[in-house]
Amino acid sequence: MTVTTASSVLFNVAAGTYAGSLFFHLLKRHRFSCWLLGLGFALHTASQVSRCWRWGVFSLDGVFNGALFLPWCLAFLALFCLWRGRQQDAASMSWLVAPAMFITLLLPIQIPAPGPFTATWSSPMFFCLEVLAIACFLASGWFAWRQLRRRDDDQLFNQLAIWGFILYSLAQVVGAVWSYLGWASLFHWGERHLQSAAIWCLYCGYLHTQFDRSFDMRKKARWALTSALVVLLVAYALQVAAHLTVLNPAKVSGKGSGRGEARVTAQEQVHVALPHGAVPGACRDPKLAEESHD
Amino acid sequence: MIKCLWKALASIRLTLWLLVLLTLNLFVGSFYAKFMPVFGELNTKLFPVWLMTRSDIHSWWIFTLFGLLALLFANTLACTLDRVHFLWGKRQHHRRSIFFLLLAPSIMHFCFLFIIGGHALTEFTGSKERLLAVVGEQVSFDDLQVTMLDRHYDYWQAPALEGKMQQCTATLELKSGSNVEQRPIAILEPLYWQGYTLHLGMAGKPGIDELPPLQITVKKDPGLLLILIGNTVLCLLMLWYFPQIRKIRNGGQKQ
Repeated sequence: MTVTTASSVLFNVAAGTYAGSLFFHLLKRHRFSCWLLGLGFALHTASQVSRCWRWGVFSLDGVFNGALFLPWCLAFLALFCLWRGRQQDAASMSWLVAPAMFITLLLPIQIPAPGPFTATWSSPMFFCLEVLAIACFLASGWFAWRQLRRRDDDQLFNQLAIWGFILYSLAQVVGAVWSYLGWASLFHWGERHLQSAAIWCLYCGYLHTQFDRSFDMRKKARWALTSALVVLLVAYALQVAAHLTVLNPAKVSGKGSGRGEARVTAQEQVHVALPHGAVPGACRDPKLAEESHD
Repeated sequence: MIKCLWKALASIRLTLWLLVLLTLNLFVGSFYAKFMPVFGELNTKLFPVWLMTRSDIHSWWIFTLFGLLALLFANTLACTLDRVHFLWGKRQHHRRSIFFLLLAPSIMHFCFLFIIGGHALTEFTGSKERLLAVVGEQVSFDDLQVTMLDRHYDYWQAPALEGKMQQCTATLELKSGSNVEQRPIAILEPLYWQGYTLHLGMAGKPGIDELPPLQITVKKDPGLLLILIGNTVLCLLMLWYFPQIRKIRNGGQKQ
């Protein structure tokens, strides 16, 4: 069994376990639901760790891809809630974890190969922090929605939004360092960076509602829920869609490789398109590769 | 009248409206940037140069964006000065650690002003140039000359990564007056020289049997330090402030 196969098998079993967790949550067996969530998390962690060797060399490229890593982050937050004695809230997170996992399983998502633009600590760190922040935002929206239905004074959604904002800010700093080293600019006038700035402003606004007396708990919960829906659309749906070969036939090869594999690089995750359409590693002539000294 | 204006400028409601409008503006801008390549040129030209040569009716979102940012800058400055003035008057009533904790949000807001100021400094007074790098050919900017002496591509050896590039390095000859020196450069490993940073990148799509053409981006970034220091201090203060203030609000308990 290859590392890639082992990783996929573990991922599938983890998905099944998360589905079981959701099933027991629906039956209001919250304790058992949490146990399954913990088991799924352990299997998912093993899958993510083994993914580091999927190319035959150690590489963190693709490990923090949103589609694969977001369910892990959501499960991590659920277990954190459990650790803080919030069993029912933790079990309810399976409503987020299981669908996120199944979307990843259903859609043919391509993981980029390691290239020269990702060979730095700031690249995996940026994706890790960003996805973790998105998970906090989505969880905040989820608990804001439950808050609006229950009408109590639980501040969990607020705490998650604050931590999401801190992690998102850290991701922007690390991303700016990566962007500067690779593309000579801390801020890129492109779709991805402008949308990141928009999400940052949206949550910055949310944080400032604390200082406006007209904003009661319900109004804040509405803001958190709306923001989470925006994040779901912009930072998750559109980013996952960018990696779908179904929606991006142009990204399916034919540009020299003849292997029909999608060519989406980690750089494209950040800048959408390389300057002037450059594709690192597109030259596949072995002779040129060997004699590449000028 | 001035007092009234100051009160309006320092209002938190104005902050909320500005942040919501900025969010909308940035989302709209992101779609313009996606579908109109002219906005990508902002990455290789300074804003004033781009404004004179490439802006048109579709650039409205950039003007509103800069307008909103300028207003947010003024609003943040007014709010922060108000709060610092208020806290300074009450400094005798708090322990030093609590006083510093209460002051932390104001410092964070000053950091935000540094970040905005740094970006403005870079966009309006820096320099950006993208030069095609061909081995043996000299390129010039200001009074400086750069020649690429050689380039080298490394490929992964693992079978699963066959044909994938691992790194690209080059040696540059840098001339400034009578001073000549040779320096190595690689992707993600920029070179610092004469107040400029030189970044190696790829300039275009290679053919099946061609190596990717290279380019050198030459950048002078006067706002870089302001932005990086502002961002780092902002994040560190946030990591310290929020758990501390929550602990105090919960009466010293973590939960």
